[in-house]
Amino acid sequence: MELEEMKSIWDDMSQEIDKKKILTNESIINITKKRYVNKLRAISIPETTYAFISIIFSAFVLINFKKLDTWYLSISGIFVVLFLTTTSILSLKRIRTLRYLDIAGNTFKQSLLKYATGKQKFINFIKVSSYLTIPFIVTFILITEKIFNNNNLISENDFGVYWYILPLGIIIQILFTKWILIKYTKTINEAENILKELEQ
Amino acid sequence: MHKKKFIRDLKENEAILYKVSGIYTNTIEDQKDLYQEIVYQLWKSYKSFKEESKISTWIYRIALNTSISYLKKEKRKGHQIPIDSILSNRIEQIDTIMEERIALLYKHIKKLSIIEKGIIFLHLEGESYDEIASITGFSKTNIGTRLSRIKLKLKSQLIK
Repeated sequence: MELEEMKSIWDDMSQEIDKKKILTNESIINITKKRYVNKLRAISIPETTYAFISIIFSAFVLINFKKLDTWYLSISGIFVVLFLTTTSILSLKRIRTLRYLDIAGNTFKQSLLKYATGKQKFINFIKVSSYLTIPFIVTFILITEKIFNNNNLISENDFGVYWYILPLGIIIQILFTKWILIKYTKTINEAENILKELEQ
Repeated sequence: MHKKKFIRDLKENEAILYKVSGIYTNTIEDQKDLYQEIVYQLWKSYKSFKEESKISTWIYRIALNTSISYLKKEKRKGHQIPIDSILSNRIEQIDTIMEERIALLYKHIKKLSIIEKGIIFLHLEGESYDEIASITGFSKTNIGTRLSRIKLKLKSQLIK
C-alpha cells in the first residue's frame, strides 16, 4: 500500500470516527477514579508479597545470626539475607518504575529508550537470579537446619536432605532457565532492535 | 472546573485515542484496555499541561508514551471499566467496504516497528515534521529519513 493511499483511507476513517462520540462524562469520571485503585493493586501483589516474606525471613536470620557459629554458616546466612533483600529491592524498584513513568514529561524517543533498557535490565536480573537458585537452596537448607534444629549438616556429615532437595533444585533451575530462554528470547531481540533502530 | 475542561478537551480529541490504541494492540480487548489506560494517564498528567502546545500535540505525546508503557504492563492488566458501546461498536457502525480498507491499512501499519508505527501515525494524522519532532524527540531530518524508509518498507510489503 502506498503512503498516499494510506493517507486517504486514514482521513476517511478519521472523519467517520469524529462523527461518533463514545466517551460520556460519566465513563470518563469512572475511568479516572476506579482504574487508579485497580491498576495499582493488580500490578504490585506478587512483588510486595515476595518482598514481605523475604524481609521477614531475612530479619529472622539476622536475629538468629548468633546460632550460625562457624565461618561457612555465617557466610551462608549473609548470602541468603543478601539474596532475599537484593531480589526484593530490585523487584519493588521495578514496580516503582512501572508506576512512576514520566508519561507527560518524556518524548516518544526517551520512553522507547527507557522501555528497551528496562527490558534488558529485567532479563539480566532474571538470568542472575536463576544462576543463583542452586547456591541459594544449598545455603538456605544449611542455615534453616541450624537455626530450627541446631543441626550443622556439614560438621555432622548429614547430607541426606540434599539427596532429594538438590536434584529437585537442579530440575527447577534447568526448567526455569529453559522457560526464560523461550519466554524472553523475543523480548531480548525486541529490546535490542529498538536500541539499534534508535541509533539510526 | 478543571475536570469539566478535561472532559471537554478529551471529548474533542477522543478519536486520537481510538486510532493510536488500534495501532499498538492486536485484539479488541487489549485495545479497550489501552484506550482506558490512555484516558487515565491523560487525566493524571492533565495538571502538568501548560497550554504552551496544542492540546492535540500533548495528547499525541501521552497516547504514544502510554502505548509504550502498556507494552510493559501488557500481562498485568487492571480491572476494566465497562463503557457502553465502546470501540467495537464504533467499527461496526462504519460500512463494510470502509471496514475492509481500514483493516488493510492497519495490517500494513502493524507490520512496522514500534518506532515506525508512532511516526507513521503522526504523519497520517497530518502533523508537520516540526510537530512530529517535538512529540517524538527525533530531529526533523531524522523524521524525514525514517519516513522515507517507511515508504520503502510499505512498497516492499505491496510487492510481497
